Amino acid sequence: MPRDPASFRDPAGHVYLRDGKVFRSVLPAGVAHYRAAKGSGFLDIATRGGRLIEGREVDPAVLHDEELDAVHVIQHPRLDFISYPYEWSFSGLRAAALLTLDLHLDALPHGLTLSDASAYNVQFVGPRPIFIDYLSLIRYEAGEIWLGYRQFCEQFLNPLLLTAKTGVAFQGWYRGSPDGLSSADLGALLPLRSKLDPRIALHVLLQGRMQRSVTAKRTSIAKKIRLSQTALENNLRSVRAWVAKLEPLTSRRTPWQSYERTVQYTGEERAIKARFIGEVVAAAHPRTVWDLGCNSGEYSEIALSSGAQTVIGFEPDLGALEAAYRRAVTKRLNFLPLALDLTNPSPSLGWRNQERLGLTERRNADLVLCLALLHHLVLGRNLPLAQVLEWLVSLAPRGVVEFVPKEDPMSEQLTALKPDIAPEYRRETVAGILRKLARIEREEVVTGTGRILFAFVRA
Amino acid sequence: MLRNQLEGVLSIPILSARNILSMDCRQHYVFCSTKLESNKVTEMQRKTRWPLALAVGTALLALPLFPATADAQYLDPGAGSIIVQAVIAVVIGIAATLKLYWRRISAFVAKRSKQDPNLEP
Repeated sequence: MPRDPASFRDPAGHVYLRDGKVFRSVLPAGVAHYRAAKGSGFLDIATRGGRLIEGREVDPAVLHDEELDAVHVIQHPRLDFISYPYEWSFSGLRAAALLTLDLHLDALPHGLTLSDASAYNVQFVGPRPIFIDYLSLIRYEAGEIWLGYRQFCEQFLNPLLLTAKTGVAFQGWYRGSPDGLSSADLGALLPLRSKLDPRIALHVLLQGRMQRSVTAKRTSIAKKIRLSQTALENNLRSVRAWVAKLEPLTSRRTPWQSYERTVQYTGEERAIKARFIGEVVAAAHPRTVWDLGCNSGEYSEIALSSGAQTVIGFEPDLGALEAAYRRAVTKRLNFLPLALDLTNPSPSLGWRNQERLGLTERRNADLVLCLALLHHLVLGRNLPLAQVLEWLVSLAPRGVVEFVPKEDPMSEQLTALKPDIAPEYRRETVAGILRKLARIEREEVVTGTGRILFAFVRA
Repeated sequence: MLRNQLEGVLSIPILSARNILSMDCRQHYVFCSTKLESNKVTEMQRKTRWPLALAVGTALLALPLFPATADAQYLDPGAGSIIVQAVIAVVIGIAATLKLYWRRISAFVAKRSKQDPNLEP
């Protein structure tokens, strides 16, 4: 059984994947902590509250071939889709940060603490974060410090502060530095005004300065530091109150934030498009739909109400992404919008390039929606039409693709300042290429400007 | 009556030093018995902005006591972060203490002015 390639750091146990099942070994190094966590009843409480993934002990012989010394083996339900913090929206990362802090605060009265604060210990079910690592919950010893404080800052607090204080998106930097943003680097970028905030002065500037070098004296001081449980709780609470109030810098407006209000559809045309998508989804009964260029999630919502169980949306515009995340939260949709430029999808990252999987390795869509996106990729980003369609059909066995003709005002805007680089971008060519790759089940003109929807089924 | 109340207020700094926030130099044990309520933290931060800034200023002034040395340039395992969280615990402790102090004074003043209307300006 293959071990999850990201599961190697923690000596307390490892994760294995087999036949769509997830098993976690508890090794001798982690047994005492796991038993304490289980005995405290907190694992059950957190699971019932929906904050911790479910897990039940199975016969350790399941992992006999892989880990002979596994004392316990826990089986977890398999999540539909694994996403990474560098793909989350600002609100998504903030929700994951709050979950980590809340879990820590609630675990302490049960005599437990968190051994780390890795953002990769959080996954999303729809827009709801869920903690997945049982072995992070360990026995709390009186006087113990906040063990994951530095990691919390680098993987949660600093990326959020970057976007909240400078307006710069954290996702690109986070992807380039999957273990997080260092306090020293962030401190160098923050505007003077935010440096006057005492919290930033302490958590970012002082910490960045302290991390720049290590002296034996400082290490020996650090070794002796003890925090009372109240002081630890106070630290967690004060960071929680701060994080909960962080918002992306609003002075930076993004072009697609108000797309739905400015888009060139009449009410009737919008209804035709919604009906087409609803019918295609209803007929396909997909478990998972990928909505490429999901914008604020209008059609993701239609896919869900038409019978899709879950929708993963991808959107490069962070303003629209926030709107999509808000939609998912307020309407309780099983919809996870992620930040992604489809011309440069997430690669495989980390140790041996296997720790965090690329987007292609995580394909799980039964149906893909590519609405009002093709012209951006072909006319706006100069991608070859045939390659885009080929890639699209490779993503899922079924899909809907919208063709926006060059005469459409949105296309005209994309090509207003440059020569026509895609003479093949015509309705007939799109239909012709699609027919070679798949069967066109249905097509319908949806607007007066000649936008067309194609529903395809892979041959 | 008044004397009792005055003593109650004046005893707070002594209490604070001993019980609310103390740092044992040998153990570096940051002890704080003043519990923050999660929903009141921001209110506290607003009220104690100046004392907090002063405390941070003091902490930053203390920085040169830990000079960066060129002979030890390797990845920090987190010693710095451990010290920072202790500093933050102290700052929060001071802020919580000040808040408690402030509350008692305002309660005292409110009580006094209720008791004796002549004291009101």
